[in-house]
Amino acid sequence: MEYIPVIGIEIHVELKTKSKMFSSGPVSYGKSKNSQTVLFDLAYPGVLPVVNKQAVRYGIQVASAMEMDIAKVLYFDRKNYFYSDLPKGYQITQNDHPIGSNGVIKITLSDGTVKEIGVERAHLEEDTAKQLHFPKYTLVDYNRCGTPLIEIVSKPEMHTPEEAVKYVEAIHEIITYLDVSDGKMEEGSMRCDVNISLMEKDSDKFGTKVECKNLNSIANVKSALEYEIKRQTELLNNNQVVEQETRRYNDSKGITELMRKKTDAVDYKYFREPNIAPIKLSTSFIKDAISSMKHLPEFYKKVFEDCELTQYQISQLLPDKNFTYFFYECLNYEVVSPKILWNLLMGDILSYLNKTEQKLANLQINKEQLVLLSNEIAKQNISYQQGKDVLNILLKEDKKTSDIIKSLNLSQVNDNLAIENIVNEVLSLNAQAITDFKNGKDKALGFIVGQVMKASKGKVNPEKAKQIVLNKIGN
Amino acid sequence: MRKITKQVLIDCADNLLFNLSDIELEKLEKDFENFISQIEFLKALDDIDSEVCTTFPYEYYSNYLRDDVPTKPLKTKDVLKNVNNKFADMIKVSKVIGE
Repeated sequence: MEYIPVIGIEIHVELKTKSKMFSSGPVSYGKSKNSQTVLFDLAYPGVLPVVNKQAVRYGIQVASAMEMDIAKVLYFDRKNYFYSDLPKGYQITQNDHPIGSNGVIKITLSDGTVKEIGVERAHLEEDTAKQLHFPKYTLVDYNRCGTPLIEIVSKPEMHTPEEAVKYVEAIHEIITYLDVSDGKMEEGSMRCDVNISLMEKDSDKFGTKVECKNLNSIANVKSALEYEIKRQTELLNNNQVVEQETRRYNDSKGITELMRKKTDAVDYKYFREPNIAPIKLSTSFIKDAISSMKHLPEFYKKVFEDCELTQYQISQLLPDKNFTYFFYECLNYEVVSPKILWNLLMGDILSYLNKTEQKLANLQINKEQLVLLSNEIAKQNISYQQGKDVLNILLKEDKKTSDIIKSLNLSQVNDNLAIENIVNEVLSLNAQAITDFKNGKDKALGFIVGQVMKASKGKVNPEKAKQIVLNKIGN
Repeated sequence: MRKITKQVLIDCADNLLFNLSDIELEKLEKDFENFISQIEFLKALDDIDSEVCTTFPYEYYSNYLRDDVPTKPLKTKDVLKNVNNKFADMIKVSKVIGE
């Protein structure tokens, strides 16, 4: 039997506000335990919730980025449950009237297909306390309690792990480019729960849904889904039933494990939060929130397409907004070849950052001087290899590109006669390589050109050198 | 529905650790009779499933949103002042969800 996976995703995003969703308690990370709460967060008698304006602005911006209908009136509800992670005994959330509804996320798959994934709702709520579970007891730190969250719920319209990954990446790009959240999955500021079932091909009946919780990386979303598709397919093919349950992904074993079986839906006895009157959002407030949104990845994609970067090059820049901003800011200067600039950034600079364990945001490099360097390479005044030497100095010292080139006595040899002389010398010393090339060993050509570059101390134009070598040893 | 007798009310009060006087008990029993009769009345009505619950007694809209300005948090020692069971500045509670 052939099955079609049906995937829906719920994503909780912690909003980057200074204070909590319904209290003025500070939102800060890495502080000592139970040091970031106010009376409301601990549910002292008589405390009342007051909605955070900035969280609402962020909610409108996220909803707008996903082309949603934005609520004109905010309603909040109580989700009642008794557990130590929320001392009030309920979570304030938006059950019936989310701030955003009926949105869409466009994803581009590896074969170039563009697919639209429906987003059912996005609603504002408060986060719970962080709990550390031990075999016999639980420790509770209420610092996170009340942190603003936006929960984004997709429609069950994804059918492959790749689609799910692209969807999560798209949401991650939206929230990080809007700067409404850190979006750090490994630190829990963006958390993913995935629902998956298998539907028989040519049927319109959904299979039994399994929920995989708290996947803390995009790679884990993919692995968990791949594992679940395999597990559920095997069960169904062996005439066994898929049970409705909640599972967690075990990173080290690469499998999902049972957390709990879902016998009946939990009744949270939702009702309207009586301590927050409905809040009318003025048109000007909504418009202002939308007009002050930062550019989304789509904006930068168009700019980069205009400077003729390939789709691959663009796809390498966009997932990390810091690289996007860096490249975009470089375009303020006159860039002769964006492709060479991209190679310097995504090849040499990225490699330098990895080696030195630095982040791009902390890198002290003058963007204008970097652009001048890429222009020198593009104009063939220096070779790319020489450019790397200049870059190594630019990365460490605040110097001008032109001064470095002068001090290193760098210039590219483009004169055909001069290159030919060096080529002749190299060929006379490498008869075996010539024979190898003539016998079909293509690598021998690279070796000879490498020897020419070495003999010229990296100064000759490598393209011209290659052409002259080819002319001489021919086919 | 369970009948709310005087004994039920006394048991509830015991569970909540307070005492009821005879006068209070009389009054509370009458209040419950009244309340249950209203529930019975509502239960007899048809087509109310789609009705929105009344949370606020009259139509009122606010436009107030709090500025995102944090205030000084409570000191950890004050947060933990009434906590009997603590460890490493965290509150120690019984585990209710199994691994």
